[in-house]
Amino acid sequence: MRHRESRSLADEVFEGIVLSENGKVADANEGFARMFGYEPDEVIGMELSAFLVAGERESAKRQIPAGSEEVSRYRGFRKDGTDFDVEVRPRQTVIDGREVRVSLVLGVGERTRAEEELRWQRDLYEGILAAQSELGEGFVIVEGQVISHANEAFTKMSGYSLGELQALPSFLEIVAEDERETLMERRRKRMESGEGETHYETVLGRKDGVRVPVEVAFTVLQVGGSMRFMVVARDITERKRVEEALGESEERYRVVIEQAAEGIILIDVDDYHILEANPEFRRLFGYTSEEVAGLTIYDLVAHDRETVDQNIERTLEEGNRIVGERRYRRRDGSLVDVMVSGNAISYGGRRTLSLLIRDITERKRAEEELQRSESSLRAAQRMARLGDWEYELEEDRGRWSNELFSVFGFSPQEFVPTYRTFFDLVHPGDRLAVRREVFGALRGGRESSIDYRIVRSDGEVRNVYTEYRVVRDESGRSVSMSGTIQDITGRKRIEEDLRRSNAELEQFAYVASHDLQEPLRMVSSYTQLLARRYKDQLDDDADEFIDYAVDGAERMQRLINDLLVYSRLGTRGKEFAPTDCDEVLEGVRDNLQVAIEESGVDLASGELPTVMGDRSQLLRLLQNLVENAIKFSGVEPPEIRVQAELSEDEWVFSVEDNGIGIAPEYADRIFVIFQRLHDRVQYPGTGIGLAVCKKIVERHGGRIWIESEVGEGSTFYFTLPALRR
Amino acid sequence: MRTTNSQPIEILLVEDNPGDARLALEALKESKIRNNLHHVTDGVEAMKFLRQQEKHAGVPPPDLVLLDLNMPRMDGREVLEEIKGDPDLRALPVVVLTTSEAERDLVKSYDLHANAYIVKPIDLDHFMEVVQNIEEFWFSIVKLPPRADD
Repeated sequence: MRHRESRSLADEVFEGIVLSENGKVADANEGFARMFGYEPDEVIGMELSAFLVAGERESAKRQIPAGSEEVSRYRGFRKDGTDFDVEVRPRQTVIDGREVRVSLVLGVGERTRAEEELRWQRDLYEGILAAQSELGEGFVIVEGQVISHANEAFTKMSGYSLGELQALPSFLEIVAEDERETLMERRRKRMESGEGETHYETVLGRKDGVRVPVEVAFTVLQVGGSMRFMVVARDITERKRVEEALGESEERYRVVIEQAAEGIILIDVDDYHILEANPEFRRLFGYTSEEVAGLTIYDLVAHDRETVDQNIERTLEEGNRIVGERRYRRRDGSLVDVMVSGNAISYGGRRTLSLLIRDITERKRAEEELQRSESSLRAAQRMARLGDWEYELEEDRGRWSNELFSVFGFSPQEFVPTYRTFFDLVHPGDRLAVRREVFGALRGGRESSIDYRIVRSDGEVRNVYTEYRVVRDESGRSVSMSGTIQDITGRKRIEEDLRRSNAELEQFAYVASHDLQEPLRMVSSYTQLLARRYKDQLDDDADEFIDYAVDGAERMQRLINDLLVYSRLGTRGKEFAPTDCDEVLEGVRDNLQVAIEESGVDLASGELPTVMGDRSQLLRLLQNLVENAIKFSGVEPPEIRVQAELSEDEWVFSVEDNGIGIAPEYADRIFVIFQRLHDRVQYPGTGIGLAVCKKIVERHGGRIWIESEVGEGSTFYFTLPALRR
Repeated sequence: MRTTNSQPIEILLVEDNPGDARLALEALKESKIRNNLHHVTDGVEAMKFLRQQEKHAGVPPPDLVLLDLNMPRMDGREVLEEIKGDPDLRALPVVVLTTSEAERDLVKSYDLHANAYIVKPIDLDHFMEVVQNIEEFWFSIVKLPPRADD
């Protein structure tokens, strides 16, 4: 736009201005065209010589290409064949990087010489300045040392206004200090000899102090007697920055390659030699930099050469490709799994391939490990009839393991797990409980578990056990749930059978012992009555028989009584309540006061904890163990020590004595009901005391065992769950 | 107070088990106190005896009842309830003599105003001692109200 405006100005002002390149019209103003009788468009591309009469064309041709800037007079030749005198004032200049010739053409005699000179100066400057400025190129005219003119582009470039520039004592003020000397030297050369570079780079010192690298071209103008420099300057800050950045990025690339976690090598495509190798490559394959120099790609690969050749060919064709997982050989012959990708690049003029080699041994190992563990997980799930699942709340979509589908009697293809489809499979009688559980978990829980029944696709009812946890986001909102579902029908059945059989057994033991007591009482009572009334009235044999009958009946009575006690442990137990074991042991001391005094036992105890339990049973437990220790004391005065120690989440109680001890092989037998290790004359008893202890401990969720050696005393241990805080 | 030298005391034993009944009889035989033991085998008969009904017309009114708890037809608890609910009978001492150690039975018996609750000792000597002690306690130590027919 501005270009067009400035030319219409030229159209009014000048007689004729023509821009030529290689002797042809590149552009011309209207004045030029009209002067020669043409329309403005017609003249573009015409030979300059066509505007001269035939006789003068040759001499003009000689002058124009030589770059002569002499003012010449010619005989002009109009389109209509008429001719007239013209004065031509040509100037060589550079516009947009091209050498062009700007000529002012005047019809002689049409104006006075003085006027023409004036106009020429002003108009030419302005025209060219406008054009240059338009292109972003600074344009400056220097007369002597002083800047006489500068275009807008240059004022922008330098940061000075035109007025400021013109007021400078020397144009050198706008040149960076360290560049001034060089610049002056160049100018001197140029002025003296007309030789030297017309085109070079220097740096301007902008008004605000910023250095502006510029590319300048300058022309010496000689008008009349005065020397003027016409300087065209182009800001090359951007180009410089790019060049610098390029240098930096090369440096960066080098660092990246040196420090890369992948091995990187360059291979000469012609002989397969390795040209470059980064440190990681050398480390991975065990070569020194010197050794790398003699290597070819064949030294690395563990597979055949043909494949290598094919791969290189294909990479060259495709430019870059992932070669894939390969097995390469190290210097020491060991193999390494690598992932290789290749790039065809030109390097120092050679055709090369860069190979990126990543060690994937660890990944491979991890993959294999994962595969192994996944397959054992699958096998384990199959064996355990246990499937795992995840459920995304937002999507209402479950992800089930294969085994889980089979727990429900589906194949993965025929069932889409959602909240609703899952609930349809829950046994109607358990849906409410499961729903409550789920909502409870979503509302507040994290991890939980629940037993319920499902109805399989084939209609079979199975028992399952679910363990799950709820995953929440930062705001505590439930996002998903995951867990396992295990078919525990078999286990349930066994548990149920066991429970029933235990209950039946206890009931049987209770009924048996209770109902047996009645007839037994008859037997023992009447044998005793016999003994009472008829002893010494019959013969000795009869007396002995009666004694045996009485003794047998009595023992039978004790056995039945103990059995009754034992069977009542399970059926007549009380609810558990916090029970202070110190206090329980005091109860034991009271109950056994007589036995303790008689045996002279030293019964010591540490501090005992409070546990959840049935007080009367715990009393019986401790009492049986203390009684046992008293009963089996040796010749030395008995010492019994009762202690408890916290181990993780349970209390380990110990009752230690210095009695006769037992051989380790009997350690388990002593807890079996009616098992005795000793004759009943020396150690009377039915063999039920420790069985009762075992049953009590187990009912309280603990274990009981003995550590003992014959003659070394015994320590009975039992555990009870610690109270939760 | 009734003396040992006066007329024999009358005891009603309500017991379905003949073995136990005989043992009680044997125990009382060895007693220092003269006594007549009357034996019925269930609660229905016991009540008829106490009211001198049917075949029990004309029997002497007992001075003490030894009552078993578990019996056919009408058990000891019902007998207790009926005796203690009857203004004519409720002064009559009733001793529950049973094999049951159940707390439930014990509590229930006293609720029904049993005068004593005794678990039959298993050992014969002990049993005999207990039976004789009962007799001695109620007829030598305790002072009872005068009998209706006195």
